[in-house]
Amino acid sequence: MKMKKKVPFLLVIMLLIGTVLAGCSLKGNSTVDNSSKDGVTTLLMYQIGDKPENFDVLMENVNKKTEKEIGVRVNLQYIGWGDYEKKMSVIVSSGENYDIAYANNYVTNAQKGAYADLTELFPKYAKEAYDMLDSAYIEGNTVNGKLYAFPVNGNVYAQTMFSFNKQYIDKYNLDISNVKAYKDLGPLLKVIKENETDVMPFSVGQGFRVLPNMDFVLGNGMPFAVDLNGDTSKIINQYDNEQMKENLRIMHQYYNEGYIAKDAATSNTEYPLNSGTWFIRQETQGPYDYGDTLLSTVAEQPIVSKAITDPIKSTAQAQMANFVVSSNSKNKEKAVEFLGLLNSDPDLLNGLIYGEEGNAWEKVGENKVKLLDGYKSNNHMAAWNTGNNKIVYVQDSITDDQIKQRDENIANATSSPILGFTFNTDSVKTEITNISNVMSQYLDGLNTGTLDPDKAIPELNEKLKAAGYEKVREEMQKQFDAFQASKN
Amino acid sequence: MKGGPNYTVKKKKIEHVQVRTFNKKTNIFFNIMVGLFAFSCIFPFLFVIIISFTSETSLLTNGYALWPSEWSIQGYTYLADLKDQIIQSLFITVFVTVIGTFINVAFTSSYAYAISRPNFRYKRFFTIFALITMLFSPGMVPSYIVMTNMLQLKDTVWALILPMALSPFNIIVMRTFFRRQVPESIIESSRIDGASEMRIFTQIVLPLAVPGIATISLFAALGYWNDWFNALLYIQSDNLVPLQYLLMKIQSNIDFMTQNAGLSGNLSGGLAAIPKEATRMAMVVISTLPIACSYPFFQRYFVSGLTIGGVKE
Repeated sequence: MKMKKKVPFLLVIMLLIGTVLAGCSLKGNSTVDNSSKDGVTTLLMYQIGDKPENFDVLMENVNKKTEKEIGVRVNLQYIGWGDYEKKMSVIVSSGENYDIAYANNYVTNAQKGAYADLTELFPKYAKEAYDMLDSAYIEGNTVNGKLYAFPVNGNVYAQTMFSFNKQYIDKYNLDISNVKAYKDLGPLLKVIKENETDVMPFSVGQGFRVLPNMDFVLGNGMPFAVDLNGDTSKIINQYDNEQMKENLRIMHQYYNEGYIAKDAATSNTEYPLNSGTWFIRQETQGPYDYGDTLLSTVAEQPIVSKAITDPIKSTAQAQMANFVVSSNSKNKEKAVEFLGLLNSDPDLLNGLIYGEEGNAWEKVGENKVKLLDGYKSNNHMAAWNTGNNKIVYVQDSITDDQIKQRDENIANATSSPILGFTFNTDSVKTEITNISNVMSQYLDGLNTGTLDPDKAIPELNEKLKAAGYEKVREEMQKQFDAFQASKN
Repeated sequence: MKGGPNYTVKKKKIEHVQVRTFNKKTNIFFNIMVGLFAFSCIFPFLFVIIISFTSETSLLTNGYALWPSEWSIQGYTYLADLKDQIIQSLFITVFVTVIGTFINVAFTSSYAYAISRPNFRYKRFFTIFALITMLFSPGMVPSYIVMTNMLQLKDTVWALILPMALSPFNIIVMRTFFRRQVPESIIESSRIDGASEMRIFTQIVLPLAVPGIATISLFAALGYWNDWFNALLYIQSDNLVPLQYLLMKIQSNIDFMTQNAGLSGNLSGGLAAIPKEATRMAMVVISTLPIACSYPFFQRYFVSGLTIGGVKE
C-alpha cells in the first residue's frame, strides 16, 4: 500500500530529471563564440533579412577564404526584417558584445556612441574598398565630423519610378512615354479599371508615400523637406507646398475613381511583384538596377519604369546599407579588415551574391556571369546589403554600354543640398515626438488619397502648429544654415 | 396539566415563495445579451477559419468575406510544404509548455506553501519579496543582461522556460488557497503521526489543493503557449523558434514590407518568404486549436479555481 502511493511521486521526479537533461541537449546549433583559437579570430556579425537556404555552404566557402587570407572566421547571424530594429536596440542598449552589424537607426546610435569610430580604421585597414566608395557615402555618413559606418557601395543615387506591368501595356497598347508625374497616370489607370476587374490599377497601401522632387531631413514621414525645384537653402513643410498639394489632390481623385483600393490607408495587402494583380506601382531605382533589369529579374516578368524625380545622391541613399563595428568589439581592426576584404575581393563577394559558383552561375568573360538552373531566389544573398556593388559581376544580358552608362550616370548625378546634414534633436525632442504623433494620424490617409487634401492639410497644419512645428523648423534652419556655411 | 402551556404552535401557511430569480422576460433578455457576447468572442475565430479556407484570388479581389466566392484548401497545402519548420516549432512550443508548466507549478506551489505556513519564520519577508516583483518590473534591458551575460542562456530552450518559471501572482493566489482550504489541524495531526515536512506537503496538502493547482497550471500553460516575446529576445537559431514567434515573425516581416514599399527589387528575397493570406490564417488556426481544445478539460477546475484567489489576506 505504502509503496503504491510513492510510485507516482517518484515517477514525477524522474520525469522532471529526464526532461531537464533533455532540455540541456536542446541547444541552438549556433553557439555564440567570440574566442580566438590558433590565432583565428571569430567575428560575430548581425545581418538583416532571411537566411538563404544553403547558408552553411555559402559561409563555409567564405570562412575558408577569410581564414587563409586574414585569419578571421565569421559567425553570421540573421535577424528577420521586422524584428531587426527591436532586437538590435536591445542588443545595443545592453552593451552586448558583437563585432559587425547592419546598422539600424544609424545616426541616433552613432550619436549615442554605440558604434566604433572608423574615421581612421577604415582607410587604414580597408584601403582598397575605401577608395572605391563614392564620396557621397563618406559625406552622407559623417556624424559630428566622424565616420562610423562601412557603407555598401551601391545605388548612391536613386529615383522614384512608376513601374508598369508590361503585360497590360502590350495588351491595351498603352503609351507611357509621356508619364512624368502623378497627373499623367489617369488615362492609363482608367483603361485597366474598365477592362481588368481582377487587377488593382494603382498598387497603393499603408506606407505608400507621394514623393515630390524633394529631399527629407528626417525621412519622408516628417514634414521637414528641401524643395529641389525651389529654394534649396530653406527647410519647408512638404505638405504646405503647392507641388505636393497638387499631387495629393490627384491621388484623392484617383481614390474616388476607384483606381486605389478603398482600404488603402489601413491595408497591408501586398500585390506580389511576380503576379498580374497590379498595373502600376511606385518603386525606387538606382544605377545598379541597370534600368529595369533587376526589377524584371526578381519579378520574373517584364516591367517598364518611368522616373518622376531627379537622380539625387541623398543621405537616405548613403545610409541605405551600412555596416557598423560595435564600440564594445574587441576585434575592431579585424572586423574592418574583414569588411575590406568582402568589399574588394570579387571571388568572395560573388560567391555570396550569386550563390555557389558552378552550381548557380558560371563566369563568362572578365566580369560577367551566366546564371545556371541552380540559381534560385533563396540560395544567394542580396547585393544591396552585402557588399560593394562595383565588383559584383553583372549578368551576361547587360551590355558594356549599359555599364558605361551606369558610371556616367553616377558621375553626373548631383548631391542633395542636405547630404551629410544631420539634425541634432537634443533641444527639441518633445516637439519632435509630438509632430511625429500628429503626422502618423495623417500620413497614410493623405498619401493613399483617402483624405481630401483641401480639408485635411489645413487641419494638419493647425495641429502641427500646436505641436511646436515652428520651433523645430527654426532650430533646424539654424543648424542647416551653419551646415551650409561650413560647406562653403 | 390544566392551565399548562399550550404547545400547539400555529403554523403559518406559506402562500407565496419568493425565489430570488429573474422573471421570464428579464431572463430571455439576459440570455440574449450573454449569447451575443459569447458569439462576439467566438466570431473572430470562426472568421479566421473561413479566411483560411478562402482561395487566394478571391481574397485579393473581394477581400475578406463571410461566404467567399471560392473555397480552397490552398492555405493548408502550402503549410504542408512548410511542415518541417512547423512541426519543429510545434514541438518546441509543446515542449516548452509542458516542461514550463511543470516547473512553474512545482516552484509556485512549494513557494506558496512555505509562506502560507504560520510557523515559517521568514514568511513575511518572502511574501513581500514576491510582491515587490509583482509591483515593480526592472524592464527589458536588465533582464536581457541577466539572461545573456550572467546566465549565458541566449539561444537555449531554457531562455523560453526560465523567465516565466515563477509567477508572483500565482504565488499569492496559491498562498490564499492553502490558508483557506488546508486546515492547520490536518497538518498538525499528520505531524503528530510522525510525518516529515516533505511528506505532509506531498501526501496531505497537495492532494487537497488539486483545484488550485489546476487553475495555476492553466494560467502557466496559457502563458507559455502564447509567449513569443522571450523568443524574440533570446532565440536565434531556427530549430528553437516556437510556433507563436513563427507567426509573429511573419507578421512583422509583412509590416516591414508595407512600410518599405518601393524597394521591391531589394526586398524580393524577403517577399518571397512571406506566406499568403490564407496560409497565415491557417497557421493561426493550427496554433490556436490545440490550446482551445484543451480548455474544456481544465474548465471544471477553472470555474471553482477562479474564486479561490478572490480574497487576498
